[in-house]
Amino acid sequence: MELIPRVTFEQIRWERLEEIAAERRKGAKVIGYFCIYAPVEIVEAAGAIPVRLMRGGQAAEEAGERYLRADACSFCSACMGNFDLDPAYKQVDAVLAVNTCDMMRRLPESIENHFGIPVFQLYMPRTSEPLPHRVAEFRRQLDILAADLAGLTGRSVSDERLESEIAAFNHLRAMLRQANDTRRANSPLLSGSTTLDLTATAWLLGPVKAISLIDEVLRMVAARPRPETQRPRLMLGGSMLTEDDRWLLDLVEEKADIVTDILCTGTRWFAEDVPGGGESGNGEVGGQERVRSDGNPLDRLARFYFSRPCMHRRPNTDLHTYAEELVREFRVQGLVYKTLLYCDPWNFEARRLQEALGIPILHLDTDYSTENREQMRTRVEAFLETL
Amino acid sequence: MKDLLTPRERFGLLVIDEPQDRVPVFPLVTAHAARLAGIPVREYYTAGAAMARCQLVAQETYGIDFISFFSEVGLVAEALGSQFDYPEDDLPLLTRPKWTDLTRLDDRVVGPLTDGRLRVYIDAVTYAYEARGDTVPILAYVPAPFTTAQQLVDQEAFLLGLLTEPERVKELLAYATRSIVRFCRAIIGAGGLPILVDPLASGSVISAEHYREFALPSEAEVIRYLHRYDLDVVLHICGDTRTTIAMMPETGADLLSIDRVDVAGAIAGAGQACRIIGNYDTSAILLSDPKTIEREVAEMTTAGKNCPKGFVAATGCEVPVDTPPENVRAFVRSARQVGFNPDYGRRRRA
Amino acid sequence: MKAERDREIKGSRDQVPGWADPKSARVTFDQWLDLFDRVPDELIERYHYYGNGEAWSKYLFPPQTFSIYGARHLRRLKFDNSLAALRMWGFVQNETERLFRARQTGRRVIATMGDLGAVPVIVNSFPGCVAFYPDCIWWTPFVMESRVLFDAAAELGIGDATCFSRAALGAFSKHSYFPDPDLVIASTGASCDDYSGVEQLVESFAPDMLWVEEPLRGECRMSNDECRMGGASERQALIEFLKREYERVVERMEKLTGHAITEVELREGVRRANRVRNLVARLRDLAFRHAALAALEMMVVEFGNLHYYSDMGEWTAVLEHLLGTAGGRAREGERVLPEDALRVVWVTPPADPLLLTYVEDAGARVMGTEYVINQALEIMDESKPPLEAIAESFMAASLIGTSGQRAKSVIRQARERQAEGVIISGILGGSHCAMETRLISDIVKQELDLPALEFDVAPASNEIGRQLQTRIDAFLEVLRSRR
Repeated sequence: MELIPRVTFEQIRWERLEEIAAERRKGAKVIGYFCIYAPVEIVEAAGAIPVRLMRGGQAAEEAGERYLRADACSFCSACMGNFDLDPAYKQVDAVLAVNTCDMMRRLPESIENHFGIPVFQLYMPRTSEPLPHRVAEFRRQLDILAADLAGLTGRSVSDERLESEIAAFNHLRAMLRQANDTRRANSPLLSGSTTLDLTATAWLLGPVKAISLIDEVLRMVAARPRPETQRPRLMLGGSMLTEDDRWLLDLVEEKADIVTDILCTGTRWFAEDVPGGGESGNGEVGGQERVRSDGNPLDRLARFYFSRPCMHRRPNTDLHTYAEELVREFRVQGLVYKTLLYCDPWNFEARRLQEALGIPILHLDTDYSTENREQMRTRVEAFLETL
Repeated sequence: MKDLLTPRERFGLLVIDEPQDRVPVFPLVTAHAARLAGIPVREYYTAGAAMARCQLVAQETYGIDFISFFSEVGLVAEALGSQFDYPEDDLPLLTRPKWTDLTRLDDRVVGPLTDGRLRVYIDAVTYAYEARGDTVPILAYVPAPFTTAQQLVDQEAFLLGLLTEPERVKELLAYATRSIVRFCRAIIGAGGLPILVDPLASGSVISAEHYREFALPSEAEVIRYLHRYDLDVVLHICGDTRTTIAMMPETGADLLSIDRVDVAGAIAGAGQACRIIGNYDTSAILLSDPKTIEREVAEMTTAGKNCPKGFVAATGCEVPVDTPPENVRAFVRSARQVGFNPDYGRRRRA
Repeated sequence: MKAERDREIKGSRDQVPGWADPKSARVTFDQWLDLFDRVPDELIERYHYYGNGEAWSKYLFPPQTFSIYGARHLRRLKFDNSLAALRMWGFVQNETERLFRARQTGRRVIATMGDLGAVPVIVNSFPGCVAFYPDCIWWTPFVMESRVLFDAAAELGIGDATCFSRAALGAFSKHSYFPDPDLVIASTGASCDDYSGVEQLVESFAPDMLWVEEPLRGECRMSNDECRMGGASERQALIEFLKREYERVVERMEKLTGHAITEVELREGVRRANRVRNLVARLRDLAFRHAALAALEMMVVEFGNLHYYSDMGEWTAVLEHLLGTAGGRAREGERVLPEDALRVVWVTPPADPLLLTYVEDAGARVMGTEYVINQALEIMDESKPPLEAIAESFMAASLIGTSGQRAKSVIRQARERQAEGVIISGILGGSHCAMETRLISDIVKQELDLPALEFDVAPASNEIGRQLQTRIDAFLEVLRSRR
């Protein structure tokens, strides 16, 4: 029995979308974004409402196929379809895109061409070594973004506002970490599926309301006894995992526990805090700050976001290291690695990741089609048998 | 042990003086391929597609690093007018050379697609090239002028002519060369790499002095032609070449395929200039047992690996038609194992 | 202010002793065997690479030579019948051996990956260094009609649903297509995902690897009056950024070679690269306006701007020879393709060169190209400090901006040369193709009202598939019907 029924999350999200619609009617601007590199603090500081666009789904993918080629990744196709179909997407006034992979870089062009929605394209260096000129360039890009957002909302982005948003989102991150930490225990009460719902809902709600929700969840976790049975402990990885991939998590969690992940819609967003001004955030490594905490808020945001690990970065050692740490800390026994068809950054790395982690991997490469779910079921069950 | 490289990649490194993942392996499987494929030998050497299919089967079955086409050394002589018999299950036999003496020549040059069985080789090369030319080098044996001449003219008259009519011999060699070059051109056009085969120029047949005066220049002439195409030329002389091995690099050949000369001697005589191919005894591969073959091939390959220009583990001449397949497998197995290069792919810097 | 193109490159149809070009034509593989019979030995002896006199450094050999060593696809192609073209083909086909000989003769071999044009200008400025792009190995499976390199990539976990550029990964694992490089300089960023994926996996074969960033060239911002493309300060910021990246390349090369490079040497490197780029600009003009050279040769020529096929000096001489031939043809009104051939612009180089032969045989000719290497065609401003000149030229790169920006280059060429259609070749599973082909096609159709044909190049084979032939034929019929 799920700790929190899915319908509860859906209700919360629906209500939030209604709220957003009301705020839009009063002139608020909604900024849709896809990626953990999108600096939501700046969006909020400019007075806009960040909404993470992370829907997939077969219907959306099919709807999107008339705009894109068949070998465009399913998430991109679904995104285009969702601009036609999904109520959240239809509220978007502008899109904040970050150049992560080829498809996500070019998706905004299609969005602009077909839906007339303006796009802020934020340049994030792909190379991960934080050389001063690279971080400085990203910092400069954030300046431009702040100015652009201010131009849209009519509200300039002050340092004071930024500090406030950094603190708020850091608090949210800390709460999500706390929730996530409950999955270190054997037979965790918080499933992978619920965590995905919780995180997606938190982004939509924004820090203040999300923190309340998570507080409530933590109380429920503390109050309920954990089951005695011990099941295989798994990590999730792979391409953008959306709310429409829940069927896979449900399938896996019939017989195993998903205890952590390296997803961009999961732990990587909240693993560390933006360093506070003068204070060190969490994220110290051996007593040393992993990300410097000096400088004004945009400086710190630049350094923080630059240092987020992702599979598309070069080299992507940080992502591998992150995965290895999670395997140790969460006592992971296997990896369920779900990639989207034609998703190069994640598909290319499956073998290498498996060799690095030294644990069994189930690699599922598929689109949002529902036709192959029985096949997936068989594969998942066979994989779990081996653990 | 799975190979890292394809035979073509391996050969490519050999001929540009680069180390390979292992020594290339080349038992000279010719008409034996027909036996392996279960077809009569006559069909093998009279139909290009059949010849190619047999070689493809042999290459696949044994894991040989080359596909090569050869039937007998009279091929060009036949195309010029010498007559051969075709036994059902044996190689062609010369029944009547074109001329009985050295007195007459004509101005004929072969048509590779029309004369004799030259077309068989062209068709075989074409077939094999399309089937497997991306991964395996396709070679075609071309009889050299000196050997061809001895199939055009009564052999006794020819050998006597080396002493009594040297200029006529040289005219005959030039006559043969013109057709051989034309045949080579057709092989080149089909995608094959010509191998020059000159067994009747070995020390078993002629003296070193006669080799230098007659055979060497005619081999060099053909090789010069092939070098216009930057081809890596194999010169195969089976038999005893102990007295001529040091001269053979002067032909310009890039690889020397040897028989009755020990590997160390061949390396000493020619290994600075030429890669050495050879030279397991063909009687041994026919009659020995697999274990003995493995041991002897291991010794041969160990010695051959010392060749500065490179080495190909091969038989000294054709694998006899009725050689037991397990013997050929033993040869290949041993050569691959001992010829393995553990340093290949380890980073080397300038 | 950009450096002006070298208008003094006129080229003359050199009389080469012992040879007279036949009347210009595209000839078959078999016809080249006949033509080669006429090439005197002295000419074969004349051309060497690396200024070396050894037999191995000769390269004037016909397509037959390379076909014997596995380049099976040459048998299906049609070639320019000039000596200059023969020389070009021999030189280019010889490159694997040349790279190994580079190492054998004491040169350092540096693999530059991803940026397609800028980094080799720096590398080649260092004495005794040869840069090459493993990226160009994406043609090898097609030239050999072979899956070998794709199978090697599959062994490393990269399957068929990715770009053909995975062949480079296969090649690294074999150590037989080029010597193990002394250094790998891998550029990534706003570039191609498939190739970035290859680069990441290549790291395991290349203990010494330097990553270089290619920045994103943005579009005009919605709320910012200063358009990113045209805006001077935005552009200058990215140029400064690139300079910092190139300074790292210089540092690493100095460490590798022990040579402290001077500004004079870098300037000379830029000047030499510009010489090549100017020659190619002139050749493009002669080919596209006067049909003095065909599309296949021109693709080879354009890609020479990347790394000069590992011998810049000799490649420059080859280009000069070609220019002499093409210039002479243009002056004498000789064409390799008919006057009434349908005029098309080709977007993204076809991995299968047979497509160019096919399209020309079907009655079209390519008079404009956008081969994802704009940056390599850009003439560098020699009045600027060298790294700045290189960085500035890189700002013209095809893939670092939007598809709309690429489409603009296509539209400009189509208008200038009165194109009748646009062909966009892609690769199923190629990351940027998946989005770009549609985007570019839509923009081109809208702006130019020209038919555009998009298709994916099929995996290596000995012929163009029947279905694709039909699509191309039908497309060309449409163009004809519009005349």
